[in-house]
Order: sequence, then structure tokens, then C-alpha cells
Amino acid sequence: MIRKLNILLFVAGFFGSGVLLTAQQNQTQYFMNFPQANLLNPAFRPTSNIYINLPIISNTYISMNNNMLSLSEMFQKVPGSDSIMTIFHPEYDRDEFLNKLGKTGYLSTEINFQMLGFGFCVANDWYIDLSLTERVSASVYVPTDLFTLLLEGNEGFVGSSIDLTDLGFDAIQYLESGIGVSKNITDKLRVGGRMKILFGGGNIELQNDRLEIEVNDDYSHTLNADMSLNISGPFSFYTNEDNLIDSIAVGEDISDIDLAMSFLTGNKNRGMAFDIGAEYKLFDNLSLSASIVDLGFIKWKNQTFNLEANSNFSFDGFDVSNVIDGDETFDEMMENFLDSLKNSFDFTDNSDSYNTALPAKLYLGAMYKPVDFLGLGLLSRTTFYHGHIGQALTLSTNLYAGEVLSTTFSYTMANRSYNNFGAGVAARLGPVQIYSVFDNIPVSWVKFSGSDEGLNVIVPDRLDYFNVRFGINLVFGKVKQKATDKPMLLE
Amino acid sequence: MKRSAILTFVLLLFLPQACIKTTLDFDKISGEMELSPSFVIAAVKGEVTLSDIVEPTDTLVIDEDNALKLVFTEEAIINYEIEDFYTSFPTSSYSEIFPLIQIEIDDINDTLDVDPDEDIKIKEMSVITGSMSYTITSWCDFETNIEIVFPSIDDGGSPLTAIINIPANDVNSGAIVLDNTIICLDSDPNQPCNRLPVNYSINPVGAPVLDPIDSIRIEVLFEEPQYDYIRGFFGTHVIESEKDTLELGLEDLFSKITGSIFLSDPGISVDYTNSFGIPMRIDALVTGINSEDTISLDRAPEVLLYPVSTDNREVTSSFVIDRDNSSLPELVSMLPDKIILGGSASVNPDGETAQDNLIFGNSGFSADITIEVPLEFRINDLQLSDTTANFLLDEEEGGSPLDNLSSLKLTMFIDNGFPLGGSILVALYDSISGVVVDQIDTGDFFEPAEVDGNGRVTTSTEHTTEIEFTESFLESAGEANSIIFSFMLYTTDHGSKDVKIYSDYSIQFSAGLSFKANLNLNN
Repeated sequence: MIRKLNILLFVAGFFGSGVLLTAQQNQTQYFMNFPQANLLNPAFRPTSNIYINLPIISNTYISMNNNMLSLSEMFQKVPGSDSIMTIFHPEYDRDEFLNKLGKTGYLSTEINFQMLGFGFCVANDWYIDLSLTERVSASVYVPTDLFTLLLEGNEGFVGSSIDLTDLGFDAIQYLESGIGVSKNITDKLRVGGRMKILFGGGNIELQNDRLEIEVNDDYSHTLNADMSLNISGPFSFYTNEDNLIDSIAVGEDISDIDLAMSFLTGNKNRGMAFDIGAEYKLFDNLSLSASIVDLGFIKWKNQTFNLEANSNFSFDGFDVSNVIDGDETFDEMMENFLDSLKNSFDFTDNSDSYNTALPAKLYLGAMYKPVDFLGLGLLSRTTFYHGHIGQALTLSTNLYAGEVLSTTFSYTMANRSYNNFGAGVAARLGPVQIYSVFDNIPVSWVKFSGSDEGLNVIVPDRLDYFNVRFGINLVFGKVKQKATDKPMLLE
Repeated sequence: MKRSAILTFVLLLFLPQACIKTTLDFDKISGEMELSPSFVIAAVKGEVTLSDIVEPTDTLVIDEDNALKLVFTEEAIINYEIEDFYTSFPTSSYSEIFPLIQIEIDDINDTLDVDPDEDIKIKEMSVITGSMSYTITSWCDFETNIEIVFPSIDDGGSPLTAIINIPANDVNSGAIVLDNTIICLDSDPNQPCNRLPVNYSINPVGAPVLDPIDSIRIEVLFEEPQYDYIRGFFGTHVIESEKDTLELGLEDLFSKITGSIFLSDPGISVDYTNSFGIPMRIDALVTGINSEDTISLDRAPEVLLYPVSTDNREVTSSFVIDRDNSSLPELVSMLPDKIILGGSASVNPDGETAQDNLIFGNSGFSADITIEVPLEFRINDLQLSDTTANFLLDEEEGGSPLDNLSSLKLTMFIDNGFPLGGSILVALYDSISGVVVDQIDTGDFFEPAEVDGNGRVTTSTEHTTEIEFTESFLESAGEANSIIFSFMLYTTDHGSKDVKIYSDYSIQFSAGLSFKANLNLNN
């Protein structure tokens, strides 16, 4: 029993330690010398004249983000004891827990596999790249008010509202094929762009334009809801006479090979996205850059299901007037109440197509190179998604050993987390370039131990901003450097 | 170059060494887990008008002014028939032998006396049907005709006459029909009642020689006929009713009530129909008794109306017992344990007067009683207490469902359109030790509305009450084996003025709950 509980708590602590925001790209790679850097700014020119990304092994990206507590905060030691307490322990400081969550807790994860990539230089000025990437991401948003409601009740909301508008989730899988072009416009300015055709495989998203429960001074409650659920995927929905979902069948038609293939290739769910960027050398040792990536959308048309729910329902107590009058029984009163609640929702379901926007990112960067082998970078990233704006700021120190080695150490402030140290390395051994980049190197770890079956696990204390990109590129040639040597003059 | 290297070194210093921050041993995880969320919720609300919950019935009446009153009607609660009051007089008889040689056989006057009960003087009787039987025995050797005349019996305008022929030495029996005659028994000035004069004449047929032993015996039996009415005087007497004690069986209820309630205007209406033409005075003796007091009704005797002629044989009338002529409000409001009922009926209370009594063959007296209690009252801190078993105890599981609450507060808003206010006291009582473990007094739970001089509500009263069930109370709820509920009621201005209840009174209320749960999740 204890063992089961331990495992349960471990799993809950590990995954429940955060809730999500939409997937984010690695920050640390922005100023590095490997082809994937231009995923964040298409104006960046890879240092090799040609590169080839091999399937799967060339570019794998995994990220997990949350703004929840660290494991060491989730599981605390009982003061004056070596026992461990959870959030349910009476001495656990829940106020602090809720304060640290901010307005919304989130958890997001993203996995990208590049199926194919190819880039080459044309006339030492143009650079063209082609890519095919499978992208999967999922996010869950949980407003802090929901935690407060569950842990502390609704009394603290009297005179205000329980704002659950941020409650939502989404998951998306699509195939991204892109072609990018960059070119020097002037000696100092280089611009680039990438057009991406998207093939959606599946999507589910719950959007709340409004989900709010007002708790009035007289303890009456008013529910305001404006929610929509969009799904495209191998699901079959069956509704009842009240237009409510009665049952959901998953994969009923998945045995249909054509249908299964259509989901994999997304041949009905088409989308388009653009990346644009620019790099400007303000001085020889200072360059500024800006980019917008993933500015686009997917139109979901394949096996879609949409459900919209709007409600404005007030509850100011069970009206027992008719019960007292003898006009109805208590059971009838309850039944009528539930009917009123149900009828207050205006459910609309259909199979219309719908659009989902990609999480667009705005990058603003500056790189200062006091010497050729050292670059000091400053990068701001702003993410726009579903009305949420996420902000991250990264400081980096980049060391370049010619074309052979590029290393980076970074410090990122993101998700109200201020101790994210990252590192990256890209080493070129002939035509083979190996790279690996982390935005957050765990600096503290938590060791879980227990006697049951020798439980002894070490996990990062924080997983609030973790991502890694790694892979092997085939690179050929290098950029022809202009002669910058000055003639030696003898006085 | 040097500066760059130093900068790089400084930045690297910021990268702390990866380390194990803490070790969490799941073998030492605390099983102590609990949640204490605090919730508020609007629990119930309602608006109730009295007319919505009170259906008019025979007992609960809403009058044209929408005022409520309780009405209890009992029909024919007093019912006397003629047989209950007047018993037929016994059969009167007359028997005499007439020697024919010694008498004037054609002019014999006599009197038939009737003998009703003492004090009853019958002066006139209207006969519907009836007869007098006779037996005539002849000890004569010749045939004889006998004529019997009742000069005071009016038989269609003539005295009732019967001629009877009797053969020699024979016996003749028969009946003289009295149907539709009027018998006057008051023709004797010396005794103008109960006397019926009879005249005879005996006539031998032919001219026989009378022998001294020739004689005739005339026997007459007068049974009371079926009469239409009897006029006379039926005596002066008092009929005492047996005292009856009405045990209300409300001692237990009333013992739980303290304070006072005063019903301002109860009334008893007696509707009667009387066809006894006899003066009668009713004196009702009603006394209420409880453990502290004895209150009499103090109602003056009531003289009933009665028919005075044969033309108007039935009188319908009523009288009331109310606050104007009795102490009925005080008697009812004392909350008596028992009521002693008694009284008397005086017949001809003023003796014999010039107005004769009349009874009819179908005379009767029937009275319906209607008790009306208008809901007009004043209450001063009327407290009703009752002790029940602690229904909060969970006998199977032990403790109480409230154990999962560490606090509970009921916030009640009442817009009261009734002239009633009150409070509630809930006490947890351990009957074994006889100790009140804990209690909650709501104070003024709801306040009475304002009323005008007629007791009608003019302005409703808004009142908000918070009833807090403390943690100690909730804990004690699982310990005490009894709960004492005490409800205290009072009317506007704490019972200093009368209030009336109207069907259009309404009350609006809403109740909110706030509670702090104590969810023990320990494994």
C-alpha cells in the first residue's frame, strides 16, 4: 500500500510539478554555429555552404516547460522531523504554493523530429534551405484559481470571481515542410524568410473565451462560460437529443488504411506558416537581429468536431417556495434546478472546419563580439498564443573556435524562473557536425529513495524550463570570409 | 583578449555545480493529510405568501377581508325531542255503575281527570288521532241506549257525542274516536286544567218496568292521543346537566410552553331551532383549569326564544359567547389542561304567567355550535421547548456527520411580512449526566413586521441573522445524546398589541451557508 502511494506521489510530483505553456524553442542555440540556428531566425546563414540533415538523427528537439513548483518544494520535510510532507499535510504552506503559481499554471511539451533537411549556398550570398519536420506538442493550462478552489474553497472569492478563463488544453501534431531563403541586402543587413506548408495530423483544443464564477456577497454564484472545443482526429462523437456528447469512440475507422494515412500525412488539414528575420551589423563587433517565426495557421477539415458552450447561470439558492406551497416535491425541485442549469448552456456542435494559429514567436537579439572567438549575446523571445504572451530573456556567452567548435553558456529568465542555466556545444569533425544544446542544465537534483524494490531515483529538482536539441549534421564547405586584414604599416 | 577571458571566467562562476539538493525518502512520507477548504454557498431561498400554503377549509376560513380564523362547527350538538322533555300522561279511567231506578238517567254529569306529571297543567289538546275506549255492562232485562257527550271536546264545532246501544244483560265494548278534535281540559273554573267533563244519558228502549237491580256500568279509558299540540303549563323546574370534564390531553405540550399567548377575539356562536313553546333559560358553566389558574367563562344565562302560538311553531335564533359578554378569551388563552363543562336549563324560570306553554307533537330543540377563533392575538415570549434524540449521531459509524466540519455558519436574510418574531436555541444535552454540553442561541432570528392600530401589518421587517456553529459545538454534536430545541415567539412590540393574521401576508427569505470542511485523508 505504501509502495503504491509512493509511486503515485512520485508520478504526481513529477508531472504535476508544472502545468504548461505552449512549446518553446531552444534559446541557447540562437547564436550558435550550426544550421539549426536559423530555425529561430531565417536570416542567419549557416557557416557551411551545404548541409544535409539525415532522418531522425539530425535534429531532435524535446522540451518541457512548466511554471509549477520544484520537486523539493512539492515534497517538503516536516519541520522538526525527517518525515516528508505533501501539499495535503496540515503544516504545508499552501498559500506560498498558490502564490508561486502566479495566475495560471501550465505544462507544455514538444517533440520535433526532422525527417529531412537540406541547405546550400548560392553565390555565397543566397542561402536556401529545405526541411521536413514532424512536430508534436501539447499544453495544459490550469488557472491558479482552480487550485485555490480545490484546496482552500471558494470563501476567499466572496465579492470577486473565480477566474477559470485560462483553463484549457491543446495538442497538435503536424508535418512541417519548409523552404527558406536568406540573402545579404547590404553589407550590413541580411534578411531571410521561410515559407512552411503544414500538414495537420490531429488537433484538439479547448478554448475559453470566458469561464468565470462570480461569488457574490450574498453567496450567490454566477457562472459565465463561453467555451469551445475543437477536435480533428480519429474520433467519432455521438450526441444525445440534448446535443450533449453521449459517447466518444476512438479509432473506429483507424483500420481504414487510407484514413490512417490521411492523418499521418494530414492531406486534408492544410496550413501555412512563415518565418521572417533580419540581421544587421551595427558595428563590426555588434550585430542586431530580429525574427518572427511560426507565423501561420492550420485549417483543420478532416473529421472535425466542434462544440461550443455558452452559459450565463445564476444560482442564489434552491428556491423552495414551491416545495413549501406543496406545488412540487423536493426531488422535483432538484430536477428542475438541474434542468435549468443544463438549459442555461447553449450547446452547439457541428463538423465545421476551423483554424488554429501556431504559437508565433518574436525574437530580438544582439550579439557583441569583443573578440572573434567570443560573443556575448542578449536574446529576447516573446511568444504569442491564444491570447497569452510569454516572455523569456537570455544572456549568453558564446565561444567560437573557428568552424570546428562552438560552445555556449546561457542564462535564461523565463516562466518566472530565474535560475535557468543552459549550455550548448557544436563540434565539426570534417563533414560531420555533432551538436547538443540545453536551455536549462539542472543544477540541483532531488533524490527519491525508499526501501520498496530499491527505489532510488534522481531527478532534476526543477523542470520548469527544460529543453534539449541534439543531432548530427552533414556539413560541407564554409563561408568565404572577406579579407579583413589591414596592411601593416611601419612607422 | 585578457578582458574577454576574465569575463568568460566570471560568467562561468555563475554556473553552479550540479548537486543533489535534497533526498526524499518515501519510507518517511507522512501519512498525515487533510484539507480544510472553506466554502460558501447560497443554500435556499423562497417567498411564501400565506394564501399559497393555506387552503381554505371548513376549519380554516379566510373572510372577505382576507383575515384568517379557525372555525369549528358541530351540528346538532344539543338535540332534544319531545320525548326527552314531556312524557305522556298515564291512562285515565272512569268506571261507575248507574242503578237505573235511582238516577235521573238522562242527565248524568261527571268528570274525567287526567293526571300528568306534577306541576303540569294541560289546558288544551289538539288531537290528531286517538280514541277513548269504553266498556258498558248491562244488568237489565231490556235493551238500553246510552249517550255519552263530551261538552269540552270540539268535534267539528259540536261536542263529541257517542250513542251506544247495549242489549239486555250484555256487555258492549268500543271506542270513541277523537280524531281531529280539540280537547279542552280547562272548562272547570275551579280547576281550569286536567279535567274533562263527561255527560251521560241512559235511555231504555221501550217502556220497561224497572227493577231495582237494573243497572248499567260505564267504563271509560282515556289514553293520551297523538296530539298536534298541548297548551298549558309544564311546570317550573331546573334541569341540571351532569358536570363533564374535558381532558384536553395537552399537558405535555403546554408544559413545554412558557410565556403567554392571548387570543383576543374567540367566539362561540350557538344557533338553535326551538319548537318548544316554553320559556327556557340556559346557564352554561364552563371553567378552564391549568396548573396555575382557574378561569370561568362568566357568561350570563341566556333566555331562549320560543314559539308563542300555534301559527308560528318554530323559532330559529342564536346567541354568542365572546369577549364582550364573557371571559372566553381569557379562558382559551390560559392554555387549560382541562375544561369543566356544566350548566343548567331553567324551564319556566319566571313561573306561570299569562302566556301559556305550548308543546307540539313534533316539538324539539336543536342547537349547532360554531367556535370561531380569529387569528388575532398577542404573544409575549412564548417559548416552546422539546427534547429529541440526537439525530446527528451516527450510531453505526459513531460520531456525527458534522465531524467533517470545523465551522459552520448560516446567514439568514428574512424580509418578514408577518407580525411574528422569534428566536431559536439549540442545546446539546447529555441526559445521562444532565449537563448541557453546548448550545447556540440565534438571538432574534426574525423580527416581526410593524402593524397598525387594527393589528394589520403595514411594513415588513428585514433582518439578517448569522448563526455560527462553533468548532466546539460541532465536536460536541457527536457526544451529546439529546438535543433540546427551544423556539421563542413574540408578536409585534413583544406582545403589547394585538396582531391579526391575513392571508396576504408573505415572507421572503434566503439562507447562505459557509462552512469549513475538515477532510481527513490520513491513510
